[in-house]
Amino acid sequence: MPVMVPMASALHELITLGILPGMVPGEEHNRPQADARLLTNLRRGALEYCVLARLRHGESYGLDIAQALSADGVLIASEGTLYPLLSRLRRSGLVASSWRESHAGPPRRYYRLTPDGVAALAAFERTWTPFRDAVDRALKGANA
Amino acid sequence: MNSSGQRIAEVERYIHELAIALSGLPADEREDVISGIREHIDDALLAIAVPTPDDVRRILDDLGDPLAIAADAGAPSATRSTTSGNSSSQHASGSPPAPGTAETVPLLQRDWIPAATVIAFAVAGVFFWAGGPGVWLLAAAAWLAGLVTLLASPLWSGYENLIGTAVFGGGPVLAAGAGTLMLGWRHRPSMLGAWLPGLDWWRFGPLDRLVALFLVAIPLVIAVGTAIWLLRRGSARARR
Repeated sequence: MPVMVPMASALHELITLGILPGMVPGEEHNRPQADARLLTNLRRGALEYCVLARLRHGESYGLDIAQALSADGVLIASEGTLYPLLSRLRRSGLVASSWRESHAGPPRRYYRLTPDGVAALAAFERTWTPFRDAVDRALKGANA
Repeated sequence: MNSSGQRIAEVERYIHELAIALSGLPADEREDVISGIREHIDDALLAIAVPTPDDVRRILDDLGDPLAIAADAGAPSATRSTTSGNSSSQHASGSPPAPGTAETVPLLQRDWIPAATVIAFAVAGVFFWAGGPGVWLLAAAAWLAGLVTLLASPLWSGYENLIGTAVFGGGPVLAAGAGTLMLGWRHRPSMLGAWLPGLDWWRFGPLDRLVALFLVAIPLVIAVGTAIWLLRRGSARARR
């Protein structure tokens, strides 16, 4: 019986994270978790371009990107999720990486934008700004 | 010592959980994510002068639940669909492996570099023992090639460069070579012994055998051990 509680909470978390489909029971009473799920869904389309944007002015390494993007807790909830994303970006050719010696400690993998990555970032910016403005306008209109 | 042991244990447990959580992925993707996370942890620990167990916990907490990372890694790739969307609209040709051109690996970071470096040292070693003026020239060439690659390739850190250079750059190898030549000289009547010292030990006295064992076996063990170590470190980084 005591096992049920952690199991239920784990299930709940998976649903909240959007990993399992389904409504969270009593969601209306549980605003932080509903907000977290919304945020997860919003991040999904935008985060990879935020990573690309971090590399716009030059190469960078994992910890540096992770700390910059997780600083406000909005873009990345847990830093570890950056690494599957970097791996996907690399495999789809939007970023490239190379090993470089660091001052202290083992060599680091540095990431940089490829020409495809630059193009993808530009395309996102062209789309994002009108989209963001339209959402803002719609939200303001609904409030007024 | 105790706290650093705990620290390593905690990190290893985390990596282990992550590896299990990622076990559904292809091996190269799994390795990619794990090596990124490992580097992140190493980097974060290096930034702290004396990391406490609390620091380690915080770093791991910030990384997040291995299951959440795995879910992110296994989720249907939004990246791939957006990119193909982009490239079909921007680049008229729908050739999927466009990254191939953008992502050429620099020569000194290719995956065969670690093996080639170690083989160069092995060839140098064998030719050196085999002896003979002409063969020594080949040994020197292989040795130089190995040393240049070891030092120039970013697949090895400064620390690894240092140990590799100390072991293969001379030290024990030269000592062993000089030693066996001296043994050969002591047993000059057999000219073969002077040129092929390695083959002639068992005709020496017991003391010489002992000396020969130390001069040859110990540097050999050190050299083979270092070679395996460098190979594993370098290959782990070259693996993509």
